[in-house]
Amino acid sequence: MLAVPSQMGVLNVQSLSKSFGGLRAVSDVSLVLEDRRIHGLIGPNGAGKSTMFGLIAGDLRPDSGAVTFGGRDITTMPVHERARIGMARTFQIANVFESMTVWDNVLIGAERHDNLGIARSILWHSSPAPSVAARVRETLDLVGIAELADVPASFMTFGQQRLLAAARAMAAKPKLLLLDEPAAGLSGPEIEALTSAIRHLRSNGTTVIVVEHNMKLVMGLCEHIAVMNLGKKIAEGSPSEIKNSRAVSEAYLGR
Amino acid sequence: MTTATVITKKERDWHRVGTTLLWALTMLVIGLAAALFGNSYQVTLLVNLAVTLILTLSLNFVVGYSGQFSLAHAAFFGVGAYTSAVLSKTLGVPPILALPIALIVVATLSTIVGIPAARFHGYYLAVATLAFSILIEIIVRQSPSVTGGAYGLQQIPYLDLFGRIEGHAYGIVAVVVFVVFFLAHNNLLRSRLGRAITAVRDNPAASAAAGINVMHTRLFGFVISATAAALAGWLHAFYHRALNPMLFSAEWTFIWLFMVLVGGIGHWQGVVLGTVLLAILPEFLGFATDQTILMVGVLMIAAALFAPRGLGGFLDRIAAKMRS
Repeated sequence: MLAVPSQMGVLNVQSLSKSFGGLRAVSDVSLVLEDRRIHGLIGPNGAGKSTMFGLIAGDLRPDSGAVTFGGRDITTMPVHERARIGMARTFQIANVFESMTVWDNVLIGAERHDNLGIARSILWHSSPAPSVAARVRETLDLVGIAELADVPASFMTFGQQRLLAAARAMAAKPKLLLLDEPAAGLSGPEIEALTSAIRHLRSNGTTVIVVEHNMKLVMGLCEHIAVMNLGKKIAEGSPSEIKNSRAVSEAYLGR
Repeated sequence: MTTATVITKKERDWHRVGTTLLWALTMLVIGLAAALFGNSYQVTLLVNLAVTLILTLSLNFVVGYSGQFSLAHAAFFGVGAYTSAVLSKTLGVPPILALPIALIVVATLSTIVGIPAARFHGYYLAVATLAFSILIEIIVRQSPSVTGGAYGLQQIPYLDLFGRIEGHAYGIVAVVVFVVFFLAHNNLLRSRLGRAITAVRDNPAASAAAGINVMHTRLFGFVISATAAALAGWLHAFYHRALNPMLFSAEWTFIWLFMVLVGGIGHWQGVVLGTVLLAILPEFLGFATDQTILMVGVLMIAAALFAPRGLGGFLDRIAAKMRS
């Protein structure tokens, strides 16, 4: 009989493996992301976190294993289709639309792009729906960049651009939010704004996974943490369990 | 703070809508005045200007806003014009009905070209579309039974709308067609699809992450621009009522591209001004056609030196100074 996961999460990762040439970046890793929880994925450099993130986000295809989202197999689904079914994500670099204002950047995240809407866009003078505009405003306030709404994204600092990219992902009201090292390059107050925004989303029903180096952030924010080392999952549990795990301290500090 | 943001945003939206309507009205009034009171030479200039504006705005759309370096604009313009002419002259289709057919033909052709082209970028796309453009010109020259070969097509029927449309009346039709095109163009720029097109130009990876289908969006930008060129071809064909394969010459694409660059790529106000300037100026200065290219070249250098972002960038700087 097939092994049935004891709890069906929002996202299920079943024995994923991915090699680059001779290097096994991810080796037989399974993961369950439970509904309305903030998950952390940590590990020392070269642990395979980024590969794992790429496999879940759809940038990479696994050699074996499967990813299911809301019970649906999405292992080979293109990135834009994942976004349409409720997966939003950020990037390690600040991926913003540089020529556009902060407002338009977040608006693109808030709008649905299920179709091109050709006739409507040519024949009508269309403004975004009030509910969409309200969501943009709310998200800008949430991450603390509302006063920059009319500024072109290219004028922002690196930290502000990263906050903007997070805001764009959050404005989609996703079921699952994937954050790739969200705190990198952010100032103290910016990190605070980001974490409170993440908590706010979770309380409104979003499941979150954070891949992060900043231990303080992960321990303070995440409710469930998975630790990877050398392509394998070596531990998972609550922050306190991870703090006291011998396997984890060995992975970080050596025996 | 929240309310302040809302008001700013609303004001800016209204300002932009106002800008579009103000430009449309101004161009409509000047255009209609020229169509009604101009002599036949000035009406010809006006029709050519309307045709060229549709071509430069649509070229600016694909190159500037969509970020795809397409050099097949003359080919789509030529196919639009020839399809209209062959339909009406050889097959007896009324010119007004030839319009939707020509648009569909070019939309289909550009989709076929665009599907592989959407995978190319930058110089590769430029070379691929230029090759396509040259290929189309050769096909037209080599098919005399349909296209009249090197001699082209003469005595194309008149446009007929409650009577024969020529001279001043055609000037009015050209101005109205252009203004309608202009409004649709600006609607598109400000729509969700317009934002998606610019988003894909700025950052394809982030666009996909927001749920935008990058391939489809690029393809749409390419096809809509080509279809607009076909509209210009239709407008051209029934005014001049004679076509020859020179219409397909890639040289035209470069002249339109120069107009876009002088105007300021990705800046529609600048492109309108740049086109008007470069289309009208040679006529007033009495330049021969051969020297147009020379003058365009001199203007390009001047633009590079004094207005690196074209007339549009120059306008923005003046507007910013006036505000402060």
